[in-house]
Amino acid sequence: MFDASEVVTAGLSAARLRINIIASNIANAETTRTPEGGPYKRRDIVISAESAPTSFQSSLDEMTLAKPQVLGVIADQSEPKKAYQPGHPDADPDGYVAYPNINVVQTMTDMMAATRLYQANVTAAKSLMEMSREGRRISSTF
Amino acid sequence: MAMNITGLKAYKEIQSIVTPKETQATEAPVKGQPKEGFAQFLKDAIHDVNNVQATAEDRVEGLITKKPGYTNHEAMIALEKADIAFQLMNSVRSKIVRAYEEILRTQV
Repeated sequence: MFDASEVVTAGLSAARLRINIIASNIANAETTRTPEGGPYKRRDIVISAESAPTSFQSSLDEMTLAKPQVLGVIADQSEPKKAYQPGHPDADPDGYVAYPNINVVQTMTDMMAATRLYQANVTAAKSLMEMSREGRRISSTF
Repeated sequence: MAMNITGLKAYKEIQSIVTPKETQATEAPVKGQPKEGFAQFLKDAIHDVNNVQATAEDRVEGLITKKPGYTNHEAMIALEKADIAFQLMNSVRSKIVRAYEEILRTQV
């Protein structure tokens, strides 16, 4: 069984990983060579909603709480962009260089969305903690 | 929420101490053998809070020593949890001590 704060933590971790991946994609937007050969491939993460394992008392929790879990990082298998640069060391026999299929503008937009996602999770975490503190105030003597 | 669990557990324990349950009435009362005392319960509650604080400490330590897999949001949430658990435990403790003092003031 896990609780709301764990769900929020997992959400924050997922958003953070997404930003890391996006940073990597932007940084390597022009990378034409990789150890595995060919240009850098755009990466993306796969997130799955993991619900709490069935426990004796928490069938309601099981319904409400779903924790985002990163299943893995996948490489985009789409065709690389070709640019005619015969003098480039990574050019093919026809003189074309394969560049990663990364749209920097779109990636920047994705990054903004990921940042907002992180902020939203922080807000959720904040109000969660605030609720706990407020609950303590019910006891008037303290 | 689990951050409330330590406090909640303490609350339930107090409930069982203050209001005797019906199930206890059906049990044969064993005289001269006090059941798990209040001191033990308080100790357990403090121990639980201590565990939460140890977790927070570990998270912060991992963060400042740049151990892989330790993130700032995790550390902050662990810290918040520890803080709330401690305050909750302290509230319950004060409440209990207050009740005890109240009883001490009983006129004989």
